[in-house]
Amino acid sequence: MNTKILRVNMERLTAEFEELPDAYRSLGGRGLTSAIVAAEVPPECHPLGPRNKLVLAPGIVTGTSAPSSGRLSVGGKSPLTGGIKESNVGSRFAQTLARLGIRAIIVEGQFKEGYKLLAVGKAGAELVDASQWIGQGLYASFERLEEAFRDRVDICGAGVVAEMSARNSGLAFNDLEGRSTRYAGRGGLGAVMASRGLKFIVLDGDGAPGVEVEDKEVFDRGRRKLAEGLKAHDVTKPGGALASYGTNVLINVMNEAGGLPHRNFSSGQDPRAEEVSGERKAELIQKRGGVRPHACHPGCIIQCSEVWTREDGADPMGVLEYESVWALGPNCGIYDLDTIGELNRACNDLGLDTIETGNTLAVVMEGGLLEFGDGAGALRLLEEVRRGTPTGRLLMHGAAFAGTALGVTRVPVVKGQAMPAYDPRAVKGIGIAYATSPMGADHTAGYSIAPEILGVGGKVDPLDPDKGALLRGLQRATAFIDSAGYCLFTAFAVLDFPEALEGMVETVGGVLGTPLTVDDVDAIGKKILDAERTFNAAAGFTQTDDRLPEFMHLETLPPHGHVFDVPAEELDAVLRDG
Amino acid sequence: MMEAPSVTVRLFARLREAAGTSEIALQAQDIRGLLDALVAKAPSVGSELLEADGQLRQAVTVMVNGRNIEFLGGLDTPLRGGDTVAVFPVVAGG
Repeated sequence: MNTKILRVNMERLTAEFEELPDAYRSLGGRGLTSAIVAAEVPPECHPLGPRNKLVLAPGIVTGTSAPSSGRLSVGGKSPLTGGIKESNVGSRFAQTLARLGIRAIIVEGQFKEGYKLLAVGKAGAELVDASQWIGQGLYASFERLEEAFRDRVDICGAGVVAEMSARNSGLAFNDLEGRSTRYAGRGGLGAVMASRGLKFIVLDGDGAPGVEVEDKEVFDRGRRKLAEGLKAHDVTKPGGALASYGTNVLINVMNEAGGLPHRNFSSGQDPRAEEVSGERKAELIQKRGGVRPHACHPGCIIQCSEVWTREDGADPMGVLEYESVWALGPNCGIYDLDTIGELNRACNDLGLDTIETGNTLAVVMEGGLLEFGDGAGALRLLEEVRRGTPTGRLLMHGAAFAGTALGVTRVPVVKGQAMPAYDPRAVKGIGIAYATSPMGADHTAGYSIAPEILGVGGKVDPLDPDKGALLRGLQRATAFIDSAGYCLFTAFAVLDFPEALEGMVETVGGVLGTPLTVDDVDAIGKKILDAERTFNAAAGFTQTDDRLPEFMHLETLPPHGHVFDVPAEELDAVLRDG
Repeated sequence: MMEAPSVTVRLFARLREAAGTSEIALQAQDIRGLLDALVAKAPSVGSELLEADGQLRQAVTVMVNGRNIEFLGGLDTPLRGGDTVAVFPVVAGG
């Protein structure tokens, strides 16, 4: 088992390796970032001040041959929510970091005289001047960084909005073609990195020793079982649902169910959704010569990604995910994939989270700054963000900030973080996840859409509010998966195939050399969530923060006319009981 | 015997490819009858929808006016004139 931590002190400008403390030996990914943040970051600190830290940790099995496991957790105190944050991304960066033998990078202190770049390779780590990269778009910067270092380096970068301390600033990672399209987008962690005075991290995996596996027999047995499950499940298998249509196939499903938010969560259905559906996008990608399927990291069986291009097949943008299409499209009354593609390109270039950006645009449309459906206007507003104009400054801190500035009351946020692409009035379980996750509104915290809408992992009525126990279990299982380093989409197979779940757990136990069984998953997940909730409580969060915005209890959602009716006691019991 | 009501059937993802169309008008008293009529009209969707024994595949989703038939009357869910029935093969995302 690898046991190195790289601690980067930006005040002293040092990058030193230290031994992983024993207490962290069984942790990885989210489990490790949340444990380090809970131990080292004062919960009451200012997220952009000197006492916050940024922690990057690959999952436990990341960097091994375990399938679909190239995931990285990034943690810190979030400037968007004011609570603990784990933002998760699929990228080769995660695998390279693990193969360099590094369990976590901790960035602490502040360098205030400009920006540095952290270069890490098998020979060690060093901080170098990064002032030539200030104020530039990330697509061009990533390209030039590859030229400055070498092809196939792995890059993590904070964009120009992070330089302006934007609460809505993600961290960009390169895709397999080198573009700045993979994001640990949520929660403003780009600004946490930039406020340390760190602009980029570049990894050179050449000659990296690899991940040490303690019990290879158990690991291999588990890897085979999980791979078999992924290859057999209709959703995850090669040529299966995700490889064929990508995540955006959900547009039509959610729209039919009346749960796809349109025009700032004012309706759950619109016939124009078809124009931006996964089916439509797959057709256009094929016609234009884009790429599908596509992987976000080597070794992925699922391959849900793609490369979207302009109409003439030029200027590849990267992946157009379901959440991004929805946020920048139907939620803004925009039903044109090319406009959505350009909005997504702008987000990738500036370093913005697409979900938060789409929600912000929708809120300012509601507030009268722009008409719903005005795609060209939305692109102009993102240019204001790039230039840091007063209007741009109003837009770069997320939906809650913009809603306050414009006096809008329909602001779909929890703990200051904007909601993803499922209206909780039509799908009650996901509303429980939004309300109770320590991360703020986050669909990946407990993806109950699987049983509520998709019929995967069982079938439960989306309108039934009695789902506290379901969401408790899902949030714990998710915390385990995020710590193991697996893509959340492996859950589609492990929810339906017990052997695949068994295999997943065995791979983790195999790397750690610890006998683990499926029965341990719940307790491991609970411990992570407890640490996160404890941090949030000390940061000032109370039960009233575990609620959806008032309008969701008062305004019915067309066309089916439901409100969010899960009782407060049910929400409070979710992460407290059991 | 009363004439069966006319409904609009919307097909998605692979079903759309298999049927060569995204929308079909059919007449049926209930979902069971509708699926029979659908397979009769577009035989290539049969393997996407049904197991070898004729049962609906586990992850196929059928909605009547946006409501999953699992929480209505299952295959016996009655249909009324003007209903919209959405049929999805297994899909997922997030």
